[in-house]
This record gives sequence, structure tokens and C-alpha cells, in this order.
Amino acid sequence: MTRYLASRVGQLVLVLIGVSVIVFFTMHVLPGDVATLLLGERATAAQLTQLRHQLGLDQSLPVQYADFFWQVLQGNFGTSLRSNHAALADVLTAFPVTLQLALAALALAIAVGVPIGIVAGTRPGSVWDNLLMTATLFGVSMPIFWLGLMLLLLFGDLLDWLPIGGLMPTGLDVPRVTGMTVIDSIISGRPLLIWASLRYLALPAVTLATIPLAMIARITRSEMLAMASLDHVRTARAKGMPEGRVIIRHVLRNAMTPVITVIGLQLGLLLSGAVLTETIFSLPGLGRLMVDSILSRDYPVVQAGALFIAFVFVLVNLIVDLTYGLLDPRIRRS
Amino acid sequence: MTQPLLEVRDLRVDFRGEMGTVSAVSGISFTVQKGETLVIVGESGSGKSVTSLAVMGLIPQPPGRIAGGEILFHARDGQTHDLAKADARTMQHLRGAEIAMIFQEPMTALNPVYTIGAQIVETIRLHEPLSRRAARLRAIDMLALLGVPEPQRRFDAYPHELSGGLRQRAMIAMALACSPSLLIADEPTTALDVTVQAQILDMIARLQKELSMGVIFITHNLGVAAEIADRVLVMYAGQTVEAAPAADIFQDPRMPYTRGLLKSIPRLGMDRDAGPLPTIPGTVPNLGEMPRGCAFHPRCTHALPDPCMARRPDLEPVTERHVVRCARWRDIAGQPA
Repeated sequence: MTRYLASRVGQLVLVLIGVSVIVFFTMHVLPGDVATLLLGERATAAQLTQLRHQLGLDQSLPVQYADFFWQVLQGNFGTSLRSNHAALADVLTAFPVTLQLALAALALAIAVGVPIGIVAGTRPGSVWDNLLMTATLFGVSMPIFWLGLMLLLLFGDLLDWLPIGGLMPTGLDVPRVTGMTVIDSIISGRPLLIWASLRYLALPAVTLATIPLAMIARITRSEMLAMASLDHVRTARAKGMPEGRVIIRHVLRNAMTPVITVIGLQLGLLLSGAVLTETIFSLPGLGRLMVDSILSRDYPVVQAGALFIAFVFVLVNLIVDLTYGLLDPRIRRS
Repeated sequence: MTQPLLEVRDLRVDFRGEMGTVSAVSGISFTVQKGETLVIVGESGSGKSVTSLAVMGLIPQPPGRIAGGEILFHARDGQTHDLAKADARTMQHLRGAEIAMIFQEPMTALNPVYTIGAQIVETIRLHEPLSRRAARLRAIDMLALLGVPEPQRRFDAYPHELSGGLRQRAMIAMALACSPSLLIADEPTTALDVTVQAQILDMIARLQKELSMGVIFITHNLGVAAEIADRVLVMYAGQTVEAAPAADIFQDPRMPYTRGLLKSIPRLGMDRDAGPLPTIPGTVPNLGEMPRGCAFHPRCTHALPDPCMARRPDLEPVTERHVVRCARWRDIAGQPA
């Protein structure tokens, strides 16, 4: 187990080095000049040269990369060219917003998707199966920005039940502990804050949950179907086990491994890809930060963000792989 | 005579398929007494497994359906249940507790994600109000009874960590954990090595005596049947073609099919120069394309246009306990198969 973990951590390091190379060089291959961007069109050639020298941009790329890498090893990703904060600090401020959104969306997707998969998978070909599978097909194929806007129009505007964007109502501030508004509100112990944070989370979470929900429902259904015809299920019935328990203990339990894979992949995607949802609902999350930073050539923040996302992605995958061992003893390593 | 443990009367099982409805089992009858071993012999597709699943109430429906007949089971509480019509609750109550089943492939028949101990305990606790601890002790006892070495350690083993023989022992331990009065064994030794096969057969025979269970043993191997059968029922294309006490089947087979099966068993000391082992040409007919007349006639060396191809033969008594479904059984008696 220790050796396995060590090798996985080694992989993680390799992936991060790879990502750092890719991020560093793509940012520098892109057209556009940071110095001009920072100083404006009317800067003199001398001013530009001086700034390039200050930023180390007049060095050769390998030297710049080595310097960057050395700084990163010390936890220094540079300073944001826009905000003047440490780049990593900006990333870490934005991340909890995305994390909260992704976790809420995923929880919703699992809580609704798995039961849908069970209902459909235990009644293949029935009206319920057809109805639910058609609905999930809608779920996977609906453009997320369109769905988000429609939900916003319906619940935020027409019905006026829910807020149309942001993290918290203006004037209501949560003391920041984790950066996740719901958790911070719970820590503060004020029901008003908890209620408000949940209301602000609802629409974005539902929007972001649709695709993973539909995918989880579909994979659960097909795995349930595949498992239900296996011999050990017949054995369970032959023991005299009631049908409901057969389904939970001997069908669903065995179907969980592939479902967990999908859940893990989805979590990775949600953490890095909530850009559209964050934009629609004006949430200051990681996706928005990355897009804004790319557009304004804020290299340090893009690099810090990309490395951070890669780190989280690999970490989530590692956790998923370790979960397999818990779910399926055949994969467990000694 | 006391009431039989199990009495199957004219059981019919239909399957709906693309080519219409076919009868996998068309009118089969037999009884199993307490402490008796009935061996059902037949090739693949003869309906032997479907018969056993019907008794367990495990016919997948749809597409399957018990289309007729009765399966009368004499339960411990003195009641007789017709398993062909019993509701789900009754079946759950009987399955595992009074009627247990062992399946052919112990690798796939056990759930790979639970330890064998957990799976045995599960059976026990479904039917008896035992604590986890007590159920665990009972399961370890069962494993020991079945000759599993180091039962305490094996209790926590997953199926993939055990050999085929041990897995099948675990499977049998699971089936017998609640001391059923009827055990159905569907080719339990087919997937095993010959030496392990013999051990498992001995084991089943011994436990049957100890628990005085009725056993329905399903096999395509008459050699296996010879070792444990009290009575033998030969199935062909969903019907009984011959049934008799084991001695009669092996010494005085009447149906050409039974004779063919017996001749195709290799024996030690056989004359190798006598040519290859005899076989029965052809295969069991597809259920949708049953031949007219006797279902076996296309493969039978004794078949005549009349009566074999004209009429479906009835089951006729040879002696009081020996029946055969062959229109020509009197003519061919004494002739070589």
C-alpha cells in the first residue's frame, strides 16, 4: 500500500511538471506582449525594454522557465499583473467558490442521478425507463449556458423566487473561514446567513448538476442492467433475499465501481470547468479568474491556476483509484 | 408411503422468444422423498436446469413463465405449498431456508465484492434471528464441516482468493447453512477437476445422510449420476424419456437415448482397439423446431416411419418404478443400442 501510494505521488509530481512546461510555453507562444499590455500603447521603447528586463522577459525561454520553476518550488508563483496580489493567493481565494459550487452540483447529481438509474435499470423497457432516459438525454445535450439563462429567467425573474447571481446578498457578509459561503454561514451559526447562502447557491448548482446528473443516471442504469444478469444475483435470490435487498446489496453495490469512476471524472471536470456557470451567475470562482487572466495575459495567475487545477484533478483521480480498492476487493493491493 | 418432500406434476415452462412461444419443459412429473437423491440427466438444452429453476421460483419472467402443472413442496410446518403459484413472500421464506440451490460456476455464483463468510452469514441471518457473532460461528462451523482448511481464516477470504474446489465448498456451506430439507445441485462439479469433483460428490452424499435431505442433482454426466443417484430421470427436449431407480437405469436401460448415453461413458480397461468411443449423432433439437413424432427419432438408430415419426410416444411403465417414453421399447429390448 505504501509503495503504491508512493508511486502514485510520484506520478502526481510528474504530471505537475508536465503541466507546468505546457502552461509556461503556451502562454509565451501566444501573440501579444506583456510589457505593451502593462504600459499601454504610448510607452517608449526604453520603458518597454526596462520593464521586460525587470520581468525577466528578455531572457531566453529555457532560462525563464528554469527561473519560473525554481520560484514555484518555493511556492512563489509571482505577482498578479492585474491585482498585485500573489498569484497563488488569488487562485486560493477563488477556489473555494468553485469547490462549493462543484461539490453542491455533484451531490445533487448523485442524489438524483443514482436513484434515476436504479429505477430505470430495474425496469428496462418500461414506461419509466423510457421517460427517464429521454429526460437524461435532454440533460446531457442541453447547452449549459442556455439552461442557466432559462433557469435564471424563470426562477430569478419571472417567478422571482431566487437571486439572479452573486454569492451573498449585498450588505450581508459572512466571516470568511473556508471561503465557502454555505460552510462559513453554518460556522457563523446564523440561520439568516445559512438560508441566504443556500438560496444563492441553488440555481448555479442545479445548472451545473444537469450534465453530471444525466451521465451518472445513464451509467448507473447500464451498470445495473449488466450486473442484474450475473449469476451471483440469482444466488442472492436463491438465498431467499427480498428483491429490494437483492438490488441494493448485490446489484447496485457491484455496479458502483464504474459509477464512482464517472463521479470522479465529473468532479475533476466540474472543478476546472465551471466557467460558464460562474459567468452566468457572476460567481468569483476559479473558472472566471482563469478566463479573465488569460484574456489580460496575466501569466502568473494563469500559471498558478493551471498548476493548481492539475493538482486538484490528479488528487481527485488518486482518491477515486483508492476508492476502487474499497469497493472491489479484486483491485485491492496488499 | 409418507407424503413426498417434493412432488412435481405435469410441469410446463414456456419461454417467449422472437420465434414465438416455446416450451422448455413440457409436462414433466417426478417426486423426491426425504433423504433421496434424484439425478436428472440430460444434454444442454434438455430442460433440466429450467426444471430446477422452476422449483426455486427463479425462472426469469419475462420471458419465462410456468405455464402449467404443480410443484408441491411439503414444508417443515406441515403445510404443502404449490411453488408454481406461490407468492414472492412464501418463496423468499422457503428459498435458502428449506430449499437451497448450488450452482455450476462457483466463481460467478458468488458475489466477488463480499467475503465468503459475509455471504454465508447473510443467508443465515435472512432466515434465523441470530446475532452477527452467532451467525459467524455457525458459518465457520459450516466451512469446517465441508472440509475447508483453516475455516476461521477462510471466512474472511474473497471468492477470487480461493481455488475452485474451495469456492464450491463455500457455496455448498452457504446452501446448507440453514439445514434445508431439499437441496438442488445444478452441475455443481462440472467446473472442477476430477479429483475435486469426487471429493465434492462424497461430501454432498455424506451431508445428505446427516441432514436427511432430499437432493435433486442435475448433470449431463451419467458417470456422476452412477455415484450418487437413488433414482435417475433422463430428460430430452423438455420431457422425461426414462425414469427409474438407479440400478435399473444402469443395468436395464430401455430408451435408446439412455442406452446411447451409457455407451458413450469412457471406462477404465476399455478395449482401445474396439474403435472410438460411441457417440449419439446430432444434437438436441431446437425448441422452436421440434420434430414430429418422437423428439429423439432423428438421432435414433431404431427409429421407424411408423410409429416413431408419426406419433409422439407416451410415457409407459416397464415395471412399477420404471417408465420409458419410446414406442418401440418392447421391440428393441435385448437388441444392442
